[in-house]
Amino acid sequence: MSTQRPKTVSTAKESFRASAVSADSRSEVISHSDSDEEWEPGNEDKPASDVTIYNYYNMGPAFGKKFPLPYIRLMIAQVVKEKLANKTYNQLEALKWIREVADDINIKMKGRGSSPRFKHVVNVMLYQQTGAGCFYGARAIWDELSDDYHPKQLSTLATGAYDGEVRIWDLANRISSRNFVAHDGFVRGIVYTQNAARIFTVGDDKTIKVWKAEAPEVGEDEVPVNTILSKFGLHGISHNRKDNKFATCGEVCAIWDESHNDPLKTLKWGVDTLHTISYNPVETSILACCASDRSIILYDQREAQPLRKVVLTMKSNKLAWNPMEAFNFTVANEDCNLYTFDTRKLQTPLKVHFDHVSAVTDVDYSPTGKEFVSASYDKTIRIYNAHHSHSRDIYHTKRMQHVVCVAWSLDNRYVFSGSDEMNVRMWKANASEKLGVIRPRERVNFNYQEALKQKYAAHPQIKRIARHRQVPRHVLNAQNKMRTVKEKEQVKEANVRKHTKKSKKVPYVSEKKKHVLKEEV
Amino acid sequence: MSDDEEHYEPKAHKKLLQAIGSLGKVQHIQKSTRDERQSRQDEFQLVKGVSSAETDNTPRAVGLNDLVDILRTSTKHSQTGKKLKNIQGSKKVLEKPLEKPAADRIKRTIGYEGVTKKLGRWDAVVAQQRSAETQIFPLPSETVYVNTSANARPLNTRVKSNLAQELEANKRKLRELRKAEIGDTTDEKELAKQERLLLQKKLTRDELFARRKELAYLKMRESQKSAKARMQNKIKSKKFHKLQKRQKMLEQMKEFELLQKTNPEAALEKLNALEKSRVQERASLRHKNTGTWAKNLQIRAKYDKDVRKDLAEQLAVSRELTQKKQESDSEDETIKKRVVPEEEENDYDPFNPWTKRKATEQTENEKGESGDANWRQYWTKRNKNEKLLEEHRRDLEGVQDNDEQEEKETIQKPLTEVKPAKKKLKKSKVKIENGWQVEDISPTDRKEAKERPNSKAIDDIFEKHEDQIRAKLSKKMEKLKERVNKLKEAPIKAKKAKKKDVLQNLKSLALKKTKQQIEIDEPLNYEEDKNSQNNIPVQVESNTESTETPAVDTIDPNKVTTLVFTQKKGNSGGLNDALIDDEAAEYDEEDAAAERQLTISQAFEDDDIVADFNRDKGKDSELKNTELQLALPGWGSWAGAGISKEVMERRNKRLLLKLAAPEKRRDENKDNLYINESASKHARQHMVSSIPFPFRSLADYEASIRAPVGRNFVPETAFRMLTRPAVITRKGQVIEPMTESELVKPDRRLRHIVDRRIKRIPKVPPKAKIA
Repeated sequence: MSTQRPKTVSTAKESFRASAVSADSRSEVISHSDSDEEWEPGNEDKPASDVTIYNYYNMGPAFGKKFPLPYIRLMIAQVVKEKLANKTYNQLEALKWIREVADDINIKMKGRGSSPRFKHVVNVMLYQQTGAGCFYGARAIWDELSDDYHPKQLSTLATGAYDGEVRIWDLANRISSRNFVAHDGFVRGIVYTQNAARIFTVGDDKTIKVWKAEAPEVGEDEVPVNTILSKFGLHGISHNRKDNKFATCGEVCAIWDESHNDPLKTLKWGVDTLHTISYNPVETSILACCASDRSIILYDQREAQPLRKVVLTMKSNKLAWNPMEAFNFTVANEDCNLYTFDTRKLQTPLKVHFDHVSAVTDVDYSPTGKEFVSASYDKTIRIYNAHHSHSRDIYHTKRMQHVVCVAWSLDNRYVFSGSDEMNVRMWKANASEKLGVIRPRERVNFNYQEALKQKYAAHPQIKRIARHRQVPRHVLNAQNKMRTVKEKEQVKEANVRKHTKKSKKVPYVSEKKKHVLKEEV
Repeated sequence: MSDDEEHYEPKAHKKLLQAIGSLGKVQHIQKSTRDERQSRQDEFQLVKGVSSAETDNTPRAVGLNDLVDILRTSTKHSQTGKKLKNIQGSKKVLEKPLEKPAADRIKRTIGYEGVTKKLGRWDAVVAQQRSAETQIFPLPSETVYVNTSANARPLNTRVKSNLAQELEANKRKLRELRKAEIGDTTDEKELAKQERLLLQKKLTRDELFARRKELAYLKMRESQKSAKARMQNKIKSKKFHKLQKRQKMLEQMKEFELLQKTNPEAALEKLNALEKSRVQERASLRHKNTGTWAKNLQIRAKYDKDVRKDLAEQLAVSRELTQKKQESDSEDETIKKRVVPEEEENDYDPFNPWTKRKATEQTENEKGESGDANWRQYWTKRNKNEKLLEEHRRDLEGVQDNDEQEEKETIQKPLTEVKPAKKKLKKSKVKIENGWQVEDISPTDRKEAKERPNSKAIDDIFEKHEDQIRAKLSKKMEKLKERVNKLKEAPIKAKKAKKKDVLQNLKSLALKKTKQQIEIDEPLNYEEDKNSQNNIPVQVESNTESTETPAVDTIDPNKVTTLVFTQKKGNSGGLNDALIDDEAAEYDEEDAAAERQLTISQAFEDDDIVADFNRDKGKDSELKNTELQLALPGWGSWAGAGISKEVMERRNKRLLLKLAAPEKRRDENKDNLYINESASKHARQHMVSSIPFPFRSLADYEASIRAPVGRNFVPETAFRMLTRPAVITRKGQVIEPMTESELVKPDRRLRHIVDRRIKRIPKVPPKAKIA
């Protein structure tokens, strides 16, 4: 462990699962300059040697070239000369002249000035697209299943794997700094405590194990601090962000205290398996589970009973709360969509997020609460705006298989994914963002480019470039297929509507309402 | 050894005997000792205690009497004992608790209510966050800076010298002396401690109270709900259920009225549902006197007057119900009749091609934009047209058969409206206008129309009939108008109602955005991955090409406006009769709305546009300046004048540039067609086709596009403000989820009137105080 910088903030971010391990290829531990100001993964003298790094970025053309200032000066001079030559100052006339000059300049600018500006925007878009080096680094390990961040150190990530191994990653150097076998069978969940002193893991062997967050001294063995045998099977774990309670799910939802070996209470509604659990990071007593009977169940850790249940058409795989909007959460569903719900209005989702072509396996919010990232069985990762129904970006690479888990870094810069071909990948959250030191002038330029992009966003050509993405063939094909199916269904519905009596009219059901079967009290 | 063995120890012996005695009853499993708090005890831990049955005096259960007996011993408690006795006598048994599922459901609802309330606190914060132009993460938390250096005592690390100790002791003495001088005898430390304790105590007490209150409230809610649930299940009274039903009906009616105002579509559905329930009741033979009750009464009816009355009432009710149906049926028919004349499409002006086309369009347009705002306008216009038409026709027909018609004309006036409609209706039998079904006129009407010339005798009958119809029509018309007015309001209000979406609600709460940014929520455009590297450079090239052509790369906001409307035209299917004001650079919204309603016929009343267009066409196709003389005067005649004319001419011929004849216009031989060829096709793909999301009006959007952002146009500060990103984060800084400190606490409600008055007093700003 060469780099661990304590940060000033405290609190745990829950919910990331991934996995780990095989050959421990630990390259030489490198001395690393600890700069507290900026953590730049690109700064290391020597990153791990067996990691592939793609990080290219082309800056756009200089703005001065696209917008010639000398030309404007010349033009203004010409206009002034033209209008005011051979005229003596006259107070009555002056106002009129000024107006004329202004109009003239305005007209000329309209003709010449605006088009380069437009062209500039197009160029910015194009360069950003080609320069979007989003794939940052990857390393081979075994299948991942779960992962969680160190809540205080951005450079630490913990992953749990299908073979029961837990790995702690040093993200700055892209090496695994520590690994140990935690469970027999799968590691189902892994979570840091709120003060980041311990790691809790749950596995298929019905045990909860507590590990120290720091690596043991040289010569010491990796031994769990505590092992709790649970009466019920365990499928997931989540830690309360404020107090020392955590919750597990499985056959039942159990609330535990860190200092006790028995659950404080068990909450049960029906007999189905609960496979995900997630604490609300803002209203910390509220938590939610996804059950295998296609339902989402809300709990309050202080109540003796569950609160409410909503049943969707298909199973929800994962649930993530919005860290900035206490009442909203998003579920990753088996039917290729994600649904954002308002806890207070469960009968219709606020938004349905489309675009994936296969089951969505995991979802995680960005710490700003504006976006979230989703992993899918279709071997892609997508980034959505939390209030939009279509994705902002799609990440994929040739060798990445079914993505199992995904997480967004706590500084809003990176996205991590674990996939079936045993890799943990690290992506930039904003593909075209420049890594490394950004000088103030550069920053201003980037901001300006961004503002221009926003301004011209509705222009068709700009829109086209901005939304153009290369996708793997299987995704494209699947998308076409899904579109055809959907169109067919629409035609069918229209036909049915056309040929049924007015009295037995076929209702128009909005897409939002289609997917929620019922809300149970 | 043997001595030792035989040595009798009574204690040990007794123990041994006991052990032997209880050999069969030994408990092998130890009673578990709990070291964890547990909410649930499982049966494995419940060990039967060693039974004390063998002891003779088995303690029986303690009864109330024992307690009372004890209490009786002291005079002090004898009263309490009596009370206890009395309580036992009164035998008020607690109610059986609700069934478990029902009780659980109640608990769950109460819990959920609490959670929703709790989550609702965040609404304002979230709305504010969403509407903020720039969000900075991590959220700036309110930190209070206290300069502690002034109060901080330096840590004493040095060993004090004797002198220093003496000095300190002296100081202490001095202080005490001073205090004594003043007469202050309190110990400061003690006081501080007491105060702290008091504070702590008070705090905990308050908290306790609050908690108890909350718990009590929850308990009360739960018991209330359970009591209600229990009660309602039990009630058997028919009257109660009848009343409840009536109440429900009333509630529904109220709801319906409310809906009628806010969401007419839903109201219509509701009305249908109500109607359906009525129909069901009617169909259920409720009031037909066929039930057992009625049959029994029928037997008695022969002898009993009251019973007969009851039955008659019942029948009356049923008659009333069926009566209503007939009424409603007739309503439909009359509506149909009334609407028929709308179909008439005979206002045909042979001289104006535009109006002709418009007339046919009108119906189409109306079909497209059902329930429209200019419905009334349409009607008034139609009425006027009808009048004019009548006169026109009279003039035409008057020559042919004025003798015959003169008598009937007065009668036929309303019917002429019907007559021409027939032809049209044969083609399209059922049309939908503004949501009303329009069907073919009833055959009797047609017959009447045919018979008219033959039979003068029937005139009277017709007159009667017409009067009836007219009366009904006027009634219906009024109703229709009302409904139409409602419909007109409908779309606007419906939209408003939809806004109740939580997200939207938040937005309404939010502050107004000053810098609007376009939001695009569309699927990404996909392309296969295969030859991605090849594709991109090609795109770049093509794009630069297209942008370099001068005609293409300018985006004229005026053209943007035209496109918007042409699109609409395409949507509505028919030709759009909206007028487009090309020159208005500052496009006024309200004007636009008004202008859109100006029909082309109105706009071009005076001038002949067709001729204008043709003139334009002719101008374009004329041959103009097909030859260009490139020779300049003096060119080639270096030696001065006197060069032979022939040579000059030959040379001039050589320098004559012949241009190709201009291309033929695409619409050259098409009479009434004018194709605008100056509009650039290439430009079109760069133009915005519709107003993007946050903008409501074209003017706003144009203004935003026109406004410069770059530092070459605006001052530096403005540039910085305009280009400020929406989200600012810092590298390497953990962004924490929101915390409770973000919540704005509501002001405490002041109970006492004086407190309230004090609160109302405007606060004096601190500066003024100082001054």
